[in-house]
Amino acid sequence: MTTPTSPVAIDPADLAGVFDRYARDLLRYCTRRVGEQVAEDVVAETFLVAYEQRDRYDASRGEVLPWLYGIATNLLRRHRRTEVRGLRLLARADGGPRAAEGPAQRATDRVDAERAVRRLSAVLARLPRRQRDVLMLYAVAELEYAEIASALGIPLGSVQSALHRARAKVRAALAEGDAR
Amino acid sequence: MTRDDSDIIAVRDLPPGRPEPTDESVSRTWYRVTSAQRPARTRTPSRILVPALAATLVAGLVVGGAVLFRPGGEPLGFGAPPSADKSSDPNLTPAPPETVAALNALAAAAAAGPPAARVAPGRYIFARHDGWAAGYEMSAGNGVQRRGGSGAAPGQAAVPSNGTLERQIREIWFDPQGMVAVSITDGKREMSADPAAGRAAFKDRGPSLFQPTPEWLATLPTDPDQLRAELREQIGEGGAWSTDHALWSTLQEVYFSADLVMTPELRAALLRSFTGLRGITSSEITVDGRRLVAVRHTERGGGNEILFDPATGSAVGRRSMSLDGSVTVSVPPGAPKLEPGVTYQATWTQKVVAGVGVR
Repeated sequence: MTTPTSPVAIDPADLAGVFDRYARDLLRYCTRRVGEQVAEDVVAETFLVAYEQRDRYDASRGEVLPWLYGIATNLLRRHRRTEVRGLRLLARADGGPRAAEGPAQRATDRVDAERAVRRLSAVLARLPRRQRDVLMLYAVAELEYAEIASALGIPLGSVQSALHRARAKVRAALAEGDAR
Repeated sequence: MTRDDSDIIAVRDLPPGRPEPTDESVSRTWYRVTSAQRPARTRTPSRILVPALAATLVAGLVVGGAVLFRPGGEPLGFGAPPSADKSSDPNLTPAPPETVAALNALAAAAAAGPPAARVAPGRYIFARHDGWAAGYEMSAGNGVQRRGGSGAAPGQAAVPSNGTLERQIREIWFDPQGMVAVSITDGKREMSADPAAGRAAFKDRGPSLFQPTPEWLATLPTDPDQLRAELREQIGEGGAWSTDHALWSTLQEVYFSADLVMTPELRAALLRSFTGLRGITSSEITVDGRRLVAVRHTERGGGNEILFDPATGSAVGRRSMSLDGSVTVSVPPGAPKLEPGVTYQATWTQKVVAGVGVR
């Protein structure tokens, strides 16, 4: 995880303290999924929900941050269309306005990178919701398997299998480009 | 299988070039957290709105049957609404070049000044105000001298012509949500505070220039022209005093409670925005051996100053004076000799504390 959590005990009732400690992590995660504006709404609501449900937080089940990621991920499901629309736009994007062309190799690398982004975006847009949630919590939020299981309220084995399937599809898409 | 695998890195970096969350994004999010479930703000006639802080301080200034006033009929420290009569023209003089230069220099210092303090829920802003004020013993009945010599009629402001300088200490604990004064002392004993009224007003109207919050301040534009327009819009028009006078009086209050929660960008933008106000001048003064920059708004023969630290651009005090010679201030032994006409001078310190009573 980006923010170390174990050395400090965080009280969910300390809204400002929790916000100070974890807001950036959640914003980074949510912004990557739904863009900055929606992310701010989702993260704000995440803290409000967490505060309202602070009595349900069970410290013995894990740290505060995975719990917050779980709330945020649930809230992000309301914005699934926004997320998928953004991914599809990326999948169709032509890389935006061209900067001044550099040496041929650099231009080639850039074109390859743009193609990789398009393929990756297309794959992510097509992933089943749970696989995408697990993959994003693993790759962006950098949660451990057990933390993802706790955040999403699913068995550890389901996390492992969902992640395995999602990564297989991502690798296949990226390898498709390398093979060309 | 690690997070350094190329597929995981590719997912993490999507979309490419996405920056880290900015401070502004974090501030906006916190603002959304704190403003959630609050009723939508309705703009009120600002001239009529008496800030809760002013009300509490007026109450706090009642000492042993005497009331401390400053010239102009306003309670010491914070401006009461002026009378309904528009008795003189507003001061529309643009800021002279030397004042513009002084404000820009302060703004440059403010831009490199201290960051905004974060006030966690349950914490307070503690402001300690230490200075001197000309005190006048006045009764609410007949025989009170008004400027011009006639007796005060009911509802009219009584204005004294002579006063004696008195030490004035005020310690105030502000709830940052609306800058509601929840406790006031004179340094030794508790004075009257009415946080319930301030909180009720805040709940009803939401954050504004009159009852700001750190989050609301963070949303103000940092373009000086836009900021000045927004501030004037908050004040409104049509009162007895000019818009810029009313704005200046309100800013004195805002700085007193909220300077430490302003970002350097906002502090700098405020100072730059003042270059476009009417009736503004500046000078260098020394208070308790400390060199400060006094920025003054002048209207109706009176000057109201906000005192800035030239090293940081932060507001650290305020001063008021009569400029038409209508007020005489006696200086008792032990009191400092203030500049002629100065009826009130104080500096303040601010910090975030864990609770009321904590200094």
